[in-house]
Amino acid sequence: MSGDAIGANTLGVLAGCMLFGALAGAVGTFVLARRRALVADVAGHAALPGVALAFLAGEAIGLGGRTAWLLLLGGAATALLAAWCVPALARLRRVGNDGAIAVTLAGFFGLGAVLFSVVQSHPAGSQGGLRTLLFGSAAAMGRSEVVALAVLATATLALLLASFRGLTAVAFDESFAQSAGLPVRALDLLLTVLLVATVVAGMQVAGIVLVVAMVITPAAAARALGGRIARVTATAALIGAATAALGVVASRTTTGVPTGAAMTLAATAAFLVALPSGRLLQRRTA
Amino acid sequence: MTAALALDLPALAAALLATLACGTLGNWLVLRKEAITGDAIAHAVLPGLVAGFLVTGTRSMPAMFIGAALAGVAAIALSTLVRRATRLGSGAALGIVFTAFFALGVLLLETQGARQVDLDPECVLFGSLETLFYVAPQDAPWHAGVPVEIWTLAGAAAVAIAFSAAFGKELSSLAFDRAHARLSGTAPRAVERALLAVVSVAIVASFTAVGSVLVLALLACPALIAAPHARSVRGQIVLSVAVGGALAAGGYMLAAHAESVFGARSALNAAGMIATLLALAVPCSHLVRAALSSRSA
Amino acid sequence: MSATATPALEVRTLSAGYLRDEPVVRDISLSLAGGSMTALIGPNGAGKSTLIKAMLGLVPFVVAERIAFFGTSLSAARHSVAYIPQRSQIDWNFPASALDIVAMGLYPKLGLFRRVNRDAREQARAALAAVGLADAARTQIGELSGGQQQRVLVARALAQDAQLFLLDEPFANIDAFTETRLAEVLRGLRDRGRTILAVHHDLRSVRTHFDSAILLSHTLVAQGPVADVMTDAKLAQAYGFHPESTA
Repeated sequence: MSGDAIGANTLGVLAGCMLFGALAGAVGTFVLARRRALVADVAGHAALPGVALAFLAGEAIGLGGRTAWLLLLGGAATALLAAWCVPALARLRRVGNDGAIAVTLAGFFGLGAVLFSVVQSHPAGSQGGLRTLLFGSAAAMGRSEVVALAVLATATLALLLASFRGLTAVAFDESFAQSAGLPVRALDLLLTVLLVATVVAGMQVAGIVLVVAMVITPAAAARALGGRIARVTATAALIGAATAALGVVASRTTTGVPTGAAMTLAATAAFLVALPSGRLLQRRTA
Repeated sequence: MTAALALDLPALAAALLATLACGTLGNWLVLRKEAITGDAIAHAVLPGLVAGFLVTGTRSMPAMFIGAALAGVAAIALSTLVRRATRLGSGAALGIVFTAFFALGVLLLETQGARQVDLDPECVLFGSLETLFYVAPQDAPWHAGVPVEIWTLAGAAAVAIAFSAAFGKELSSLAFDRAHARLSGTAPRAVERALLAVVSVAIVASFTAVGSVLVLALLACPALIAAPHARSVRGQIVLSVAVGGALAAGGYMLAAHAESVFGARSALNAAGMIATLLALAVPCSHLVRAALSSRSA
Repeated sequence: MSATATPALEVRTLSAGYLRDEPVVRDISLSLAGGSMTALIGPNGAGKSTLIKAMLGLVPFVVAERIAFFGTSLSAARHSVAYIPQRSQIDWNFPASALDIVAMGLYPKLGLFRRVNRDAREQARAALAAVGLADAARTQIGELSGGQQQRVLVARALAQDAQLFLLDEPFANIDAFTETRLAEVLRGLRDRGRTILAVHHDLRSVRTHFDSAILLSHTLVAQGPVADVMTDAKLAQAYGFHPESTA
């Protein structure tokens, strides 16, 4: 981990995390609309084996196992594979969507545990890396990690904005979108890609167990406040960025609290506030 | 006492008992199409566990179990409330609640000096099968040397089996047609709450030995491996535990002896190995079913 | 049937819906006399299924002055009421034989901690025989035809030995044999003093199978003997046009 001047690094981490928070909120709006919340959970857990494989591959080819972009790529690869497995398994008789999610999550997470035991017995592997990956740590992010996060988050956000119209149409009314000639299948696939990219971008900060919370809770809070999808998406992004910032600050000032937990609690608080507020808002306009 | 007996036997016992406990109960979750509930409860019990410790000041099993059971039931109840209050799907409602619970648990763990509890997060996630061992005591009966996790698991397995036997018909009726079961007076709501509580207890009992990675796999996979072949609920449960147990034993041996089997640097994580095999066995079981059907057709 | 006998089912100003402040049915008041066979008819989405479910407490938002089964609440009259849901609401992949499902109708009588004994199995077999499925007792429910599955659900209700039967679309998408057999079974129940209320979609067969009808289109349009309810005026009011005249 290359160090920088404390002030600049901290600001960089904060900015990167807020960018992730905004992205997660925006993507989360569509994830909720398409009822894919738990696929985000699967994606998070399924990134684990990919990161381990990337580490081992990096060591094997002399790149050094800690190359941030390589680890993100590995995580994204297995997460995407898992996202493909879920509907494939769900089609089997007596499995169903719930069974498919549970099996995929357990299988990939299990494989991650096995592969990380290989990593930890590797001379270059350390114990701390796994803990950071599981629970997230803003403090552990070095310059290369922040850059990787920022690049990935910006690219994903750009892609989301570019396809906003299509995604909105499909999320709002799938049958209408189909009759209007939109490529529903492709747009769903795009959403999966956006979701995986978001989860992978945030896993260093929020940890793979709780990154799903950043995707669904701020977006749920924004939904509770009501409005058209464009406004909900913007609100979700705002809430996401704010709760991410709160989480980073809280985890820095209170030693021991992992960033992921702090972010999740902040997002949950926002949701609890938004729920009754939304009701009040609706009554006033009714 | 040979090394094999001292090291492998306790771990095998733990894995098999966890399969009995979680694998049996997992059938009810799968039949109710609530496989995800197991996942959610596994995350949600953490604050209950830690609170149990904080309230009693010791790593007292009963306190942790009660805390876990309460947390499990509360999480499911809250997620139903969230679903009713918003128009979110059940998956999103569950996700919001169980991540909040888990975060709360992590917060309690890290800030309340609960490090004395020796609740190592990695151990809770990935289990400690590799480190369970039996030491024959010098001046005490043989069973005094058995790790406490084994006794806890045995108790959980007994509860799981007894519960399933006692309320099997009510649970089956609820799973097949919940509205009818509730309306006709077959099953009071207490049975469903009890199921959640018992599942929470089994999860907590299994955590320290096999970790949440294997608990998640055991709650869903054995039942889904047996499902394609099942012609009755009882048949499914029996087959699920039999196959699950075999895979658990095989998976443990593969991981523990990875040096000789794979030429690995050291032993592999056993809980993760078993979980991976269990998950892979689900689509394989469907292939077997399809092959058997086409042969008899 | 004396005029002062307790109605099998009585509802006063019931409104119900799945979302708060969005009722699907409004201000429904109806009364079913014992020993009658009534069809609940109306256009798609009129709230027929919702009404049945609302009376049974299966709908989240329900408001009513009165919902009484044989003069008391549902929980008190539990053993006298049998609900047969839409076939499409069941997952027929469940691992069980036809006999296993019918036996579920006996669970309330058996009570907690009792096993399904030989006596119960015999009763279940008898119920299966009554709907013409004696030979299918051991067949997996996933292997049965749609009509056979419908008959299994009815057999389960027969095993309950209830007084009031609430059926949701029992005649939908079934073969002719099942339709005839089902109608026979229901008529037999009515002749023995039981009460039947069935959501029915096919207007042409209402007169054949049922004595009375309730015409619903979010609110109650008409209630009474079939001939009184299925007049051109009333049907036009509910459907917006005369549905029987469309080819």
